Amino acid sequence: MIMIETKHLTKKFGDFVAVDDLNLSIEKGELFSLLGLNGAGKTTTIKMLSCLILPSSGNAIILNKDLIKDSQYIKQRINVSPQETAIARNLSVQENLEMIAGIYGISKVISNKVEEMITVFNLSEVRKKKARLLSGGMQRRLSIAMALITDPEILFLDEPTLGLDVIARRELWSNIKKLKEKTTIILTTHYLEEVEALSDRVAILQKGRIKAIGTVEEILNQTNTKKLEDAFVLLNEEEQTI
Amino acid sequence: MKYTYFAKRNFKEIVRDPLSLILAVLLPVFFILLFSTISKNAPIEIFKPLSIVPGITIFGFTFITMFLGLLIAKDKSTSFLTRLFISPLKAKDFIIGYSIPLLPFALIIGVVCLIVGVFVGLPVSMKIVYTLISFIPYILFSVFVGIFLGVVCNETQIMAIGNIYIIASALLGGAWMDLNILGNTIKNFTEFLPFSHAIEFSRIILSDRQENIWIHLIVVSSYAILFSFLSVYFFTRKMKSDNK
Repeated sequence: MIMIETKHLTKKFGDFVAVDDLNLSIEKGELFSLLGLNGAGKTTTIKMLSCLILPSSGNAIILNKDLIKDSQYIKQRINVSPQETAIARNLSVQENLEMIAGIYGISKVISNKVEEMITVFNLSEVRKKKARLLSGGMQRRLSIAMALITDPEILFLDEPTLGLDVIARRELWSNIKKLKEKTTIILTTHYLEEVEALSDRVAILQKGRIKAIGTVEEILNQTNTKKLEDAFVLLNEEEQTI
Repeated sequence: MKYTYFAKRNFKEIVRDPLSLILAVLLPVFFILLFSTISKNAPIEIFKPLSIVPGITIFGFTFITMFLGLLIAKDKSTSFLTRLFISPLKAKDFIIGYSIPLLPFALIIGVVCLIVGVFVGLPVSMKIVYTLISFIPYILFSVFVGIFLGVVCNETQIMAIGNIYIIASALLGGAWMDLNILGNTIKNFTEFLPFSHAIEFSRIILSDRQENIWIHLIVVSSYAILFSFLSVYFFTRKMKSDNK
């Protein structure tokens, strides 16, 4: 089943084309990574697909609904963990989770869902602690737990491990791997090892356009390289040479 | 009722910032006690409880504007509001969610100031309850100005504008001084602002003065309605501005 299908999706800010004629489809249960340099259009793509900004032209079908016309339907069924940690700083871990669950209207099973998230993300020791007092890694985990408590059919993770140390990053990878079984995940990242460790498929974006798309192996074959980093550098060098 | 969860969060954010309580509750209480003490030693009419208590209470409500503006500006500057814009909350949910938590908070300020007023000499009567009710239009005005500033300005701008707003409301409202001493030009100017009307409205309700309250009520209510439209318009525009 196709969860996301973009059709000539384009976003312009004035004369600047942030996302240019994007065509891709993402299957149910896939972990799809968007990879690219700064300004490649990763975050703008996620913002469009999560109904935060409208495309300048083109469209997308998400969960069989029109991105532009049915945004309220889509919003209820997706969630996002933004690039910056998006938490209510003066609320405790538990209160943050309860708030998001309530806003998405899952109040009947709210306590069960909160307990589930606290267990999955190992937040039990800090459940009563105010979010602003948590470490960066814990805040990031909470931010992702807040996105997952609504049981989204599609989860957008915008650079989820940015600024985390190696241990916190590995712990988060482990959490993301567990999610793959029941949620379609779209991940943006700068970290190539993260893409290799987690992704089913990858799209390498450059100046808003797809330069390569496929599994890591397919991209290595396309570029005749042995490492994703080499493929990534090669694809970006090609553009700069042009 | 999704906004109730958002409203709860906003209430907690404000209450858990101790500075809010100190400024919004203790500062007006301090001023009431201070000016009442002065009035015992100097026969200044405006420092007497019937004048100073409504004036200082209205002044206390201006802090609501500041807190709300700062809260929204902070939410804007982090990804927290982005997360909520992606949620099923609509513009009206945001407006209600930001407004409702401030109402009990404003009620607390009003009740505390009036109770302190009784201690410094306000006669106990039903007029105290009517005075509390008379604060409502100005409380609504303060809330909507807070939303408007929070949406339009960033944190630094709100700190600057908020300070000017608080000082202007105190000086141009006549909370603790007779506006006639400012001269005709400034006095006439204050007639076009809601501050002095809000104070006079509550003073007339609290006292035995037989004066027309309607002009004061109309001016304050008009400002409240104007800023309710402005806050809704600019908030909706903010949500859509990311959609361009």
